[in-house]
Amino acid sequence: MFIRNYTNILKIVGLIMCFSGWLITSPVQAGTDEWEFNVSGYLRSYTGVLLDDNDETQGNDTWEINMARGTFLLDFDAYTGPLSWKLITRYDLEHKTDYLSELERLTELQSPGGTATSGRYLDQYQTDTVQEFFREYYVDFTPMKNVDMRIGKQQLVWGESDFFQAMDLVHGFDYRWRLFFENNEDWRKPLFLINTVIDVPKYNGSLNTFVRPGLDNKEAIGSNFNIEGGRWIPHPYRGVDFTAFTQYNAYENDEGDQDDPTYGARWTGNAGSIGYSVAYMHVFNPAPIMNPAVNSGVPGAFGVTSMRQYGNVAENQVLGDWVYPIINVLGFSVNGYSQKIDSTLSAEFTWTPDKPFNFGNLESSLPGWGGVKERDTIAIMLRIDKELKLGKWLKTNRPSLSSIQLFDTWIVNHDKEDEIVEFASFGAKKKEHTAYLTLFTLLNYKRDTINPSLVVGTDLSNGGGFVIPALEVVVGDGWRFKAEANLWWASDEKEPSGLKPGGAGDHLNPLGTPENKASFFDWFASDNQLVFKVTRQY
Amino acid sequence: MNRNIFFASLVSLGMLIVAPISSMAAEEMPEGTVLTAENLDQFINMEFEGKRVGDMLPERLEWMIRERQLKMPIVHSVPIEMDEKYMQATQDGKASVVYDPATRQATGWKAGMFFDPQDIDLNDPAAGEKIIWNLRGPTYGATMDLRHISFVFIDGKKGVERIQRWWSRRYYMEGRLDGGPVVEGDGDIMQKTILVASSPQDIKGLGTFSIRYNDPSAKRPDDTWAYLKSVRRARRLTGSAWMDPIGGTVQLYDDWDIWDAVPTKYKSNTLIEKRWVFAVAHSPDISVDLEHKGSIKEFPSVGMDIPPYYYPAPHINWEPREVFVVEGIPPDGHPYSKKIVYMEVDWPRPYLGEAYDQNGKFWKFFIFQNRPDIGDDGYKAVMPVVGHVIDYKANFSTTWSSNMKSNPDGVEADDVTLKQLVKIAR
Repeated sequence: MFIRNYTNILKIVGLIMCFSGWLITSPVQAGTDEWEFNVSGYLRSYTGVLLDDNDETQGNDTWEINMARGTFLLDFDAYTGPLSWKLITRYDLEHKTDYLSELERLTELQSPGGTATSGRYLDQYQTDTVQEFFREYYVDFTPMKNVDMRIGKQQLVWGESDFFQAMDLVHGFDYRWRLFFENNEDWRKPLFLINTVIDVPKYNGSLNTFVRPGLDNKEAIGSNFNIEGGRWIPHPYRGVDFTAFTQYNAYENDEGDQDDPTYGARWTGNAGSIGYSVAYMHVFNPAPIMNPAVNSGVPGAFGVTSMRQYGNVAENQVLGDWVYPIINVLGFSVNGYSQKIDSTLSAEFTWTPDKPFNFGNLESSLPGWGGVKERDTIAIMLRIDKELKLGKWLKTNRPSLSSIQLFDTWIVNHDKEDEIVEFASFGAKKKEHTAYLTLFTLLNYKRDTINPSLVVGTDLSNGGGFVIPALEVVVGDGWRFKAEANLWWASDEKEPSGLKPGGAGDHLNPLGTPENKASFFDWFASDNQLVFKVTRQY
Repeated sequence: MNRNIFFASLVSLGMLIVAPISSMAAEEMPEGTVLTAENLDQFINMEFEGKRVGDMLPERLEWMIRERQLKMPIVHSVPIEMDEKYMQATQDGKASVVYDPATRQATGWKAGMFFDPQDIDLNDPAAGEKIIWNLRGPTYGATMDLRHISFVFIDGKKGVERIQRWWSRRYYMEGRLDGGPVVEGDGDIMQKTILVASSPQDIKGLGTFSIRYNDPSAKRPDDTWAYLKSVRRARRLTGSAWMDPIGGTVQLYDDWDIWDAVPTKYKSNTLIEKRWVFAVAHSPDISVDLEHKGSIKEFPSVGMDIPPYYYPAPHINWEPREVFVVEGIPPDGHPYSKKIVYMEVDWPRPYLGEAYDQNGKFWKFFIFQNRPDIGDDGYKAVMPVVGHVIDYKANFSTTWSSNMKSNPDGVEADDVTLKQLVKIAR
């Protein structure tokens, strides 16, 4: 079955590559004003080089390559009178580096039976289904004056926040192949939507509605974390395939089913020079929630003494299902320019009643496996953007866009005794406020052909953070080069249990040491790395 | 007596000697002459259309010929007819326009020019301000499509470096003379502009939408948003974005049409002189030839195969035009310390410009090729179609070319909105 699917994808890719290659090299790509066709795209390589040694693996991982990835993307536009068509295809291929081979070996040793040990280890990173290959396809049209519609597989983004999701909840993200540093259109998971925008000039605004009828496959729902045990599963779980004990179950849970329609409406307007939006969304919780196996075949395993089901009884009878409950979200955003401080100010607020969180069993190997508690939650984003005129000192060719953002998640009526965790498997109690402070600045030299940048973030509530210096170089129309360092600091890293795997049969407790401190940035404590990106665009 | 005869003879002799010299100075330069570094001294004291050739070359333009390989084919000037509605609106409305010297603000304008150029007194201290106020209204139609606009990045030594393709539309909300209402909306907005990139892939879908308000004091900042396709989101920009570079080009948003700012945005605008210059006023109809997309033939009006690669092509003719020369002092924070524009006297059409850095050093020169155009509604406009923005400190230019269209059919105010930017930037 796999071979046949894979062969089919390769055939499709080959056909489209040949066709688009002919188009790209054709001198004329545009037609008349009424009918027009364009194709563009890129071929890109990614290389990741570790600067740290991971505790989970046998050898020294410093300078090991953890990502060797190639991407071929094609972007088709066609204009046929009143209809405008879009098709984006993307084909990703990875080389199994020595580092990934070591993780695969550990996976087979510690957690056989999951998807990562089925002989298709790279499926977690590569394009392996036709749906993935046809990344976006939609048609735009205007059925009547002031009404625009976009129907098809697409990305719809609401809200203002950088890095974090407040109102940007229509889609989930695929965090498996890369964490959150790339342009997020690359790892947002497109959905089939009916997207309508109705202009209301009288009130200086527009109403945007979307309906996801539920035609997407289960892989399109929610965000994917690298629970297959690959290069971006949080430490200390490298080489532990959670799909051997759990499963993503987006399709048969009373709290959220892939066939359930999701929908939302947003009013966007301007009051004078102040922009604002008000939104309501009925969407999947972006992060998966553990629905523990209350009737587990191995009760009491890993120190978990109490479990409470969420929605249906979990299908997976070992540890449980990862489910995406449907949540209701009310959001509000506002932005404006302050001439006094020559800065743009933005804010975003969302209120999510009964947002689900995992809780309990904090002293076990599986913190958060007690079940699910629902709590009203408010997300708050405050940001200031300013163009710093650094040219006098740094010789930049234009003002540097710089931004400082505070993002807080506030659990209303928070109670320490709730034992709520950020993510099941990690034992730090989620505090009433979890606040992240981020900063970025972008420098431009030589007419934007040499572009250094710096991103810094820290968790004000739990400690830890990251810093990402990067340099992008633009060469002509075709070539783009980017190098960046992803550097982390952490305070309460979760340690693996047992010995480092050395001799035969000597391996870790796959679920780590019981603890109650590890929080978000502790997950990536040993992931300092360099990433190089080379792009040839067409 | 003899002494008188002697002096008379001396004077006669002198006249005999001087007469041929005078007649040489008045010699007419033949039409079609190409002024170059090699022949400039030969022609500079000749006349063309009754004016000394050298007097029609601003200092920087002469320097570009002598030192920077500029070649200028000279032809006779051809009269340009502006739209009767525009000229009539100027006459009809000029009595209502009030200029306040204390605030430098002009109010009461409806359409056409704010001030009749014939009424501008060259000795009026506010003459420069009034000339720039004329540029603030719609000068090339109520709506302008910048079709197929491309910014070509050109290194003066190596030639074409890269090409960015964009699309743009500007919609004036007042002073409209397209047969519809003269003012749209409540009169709050002056104009709205969309600028969106289509190529190469890394900037495809990057765009801006800006609103400039109708505020004679220019204190109300523009509202500007950028749509970033890489994150699929529009982001509010600062109100000072009007003086930022467009993308990575050497052209500022404020260099749109050489001079885009409302007069009161600047500290002062001073009329330097009224003079004649050589300018490009009749550029060919096709500025971007999509039949040759991807080659230098795509931009036939730019000499991209002739060093330094960024000047008008050899077949682009220069003709004498009478211009106002206005010097503007931008506000603090602006990249320039001074900008000079050379603008047609009878109606506001910038042909040439100069920009100086914060140390007062010459930095950029603007050569804008213009041509008359008939809008889809029959409106007679004169518009820029190619803009050579040359950074002489870096010996680098971003030269844009566009198949401009005045008053395109079927475009309404609601077609130039943030929503439309997001829709277009796919």
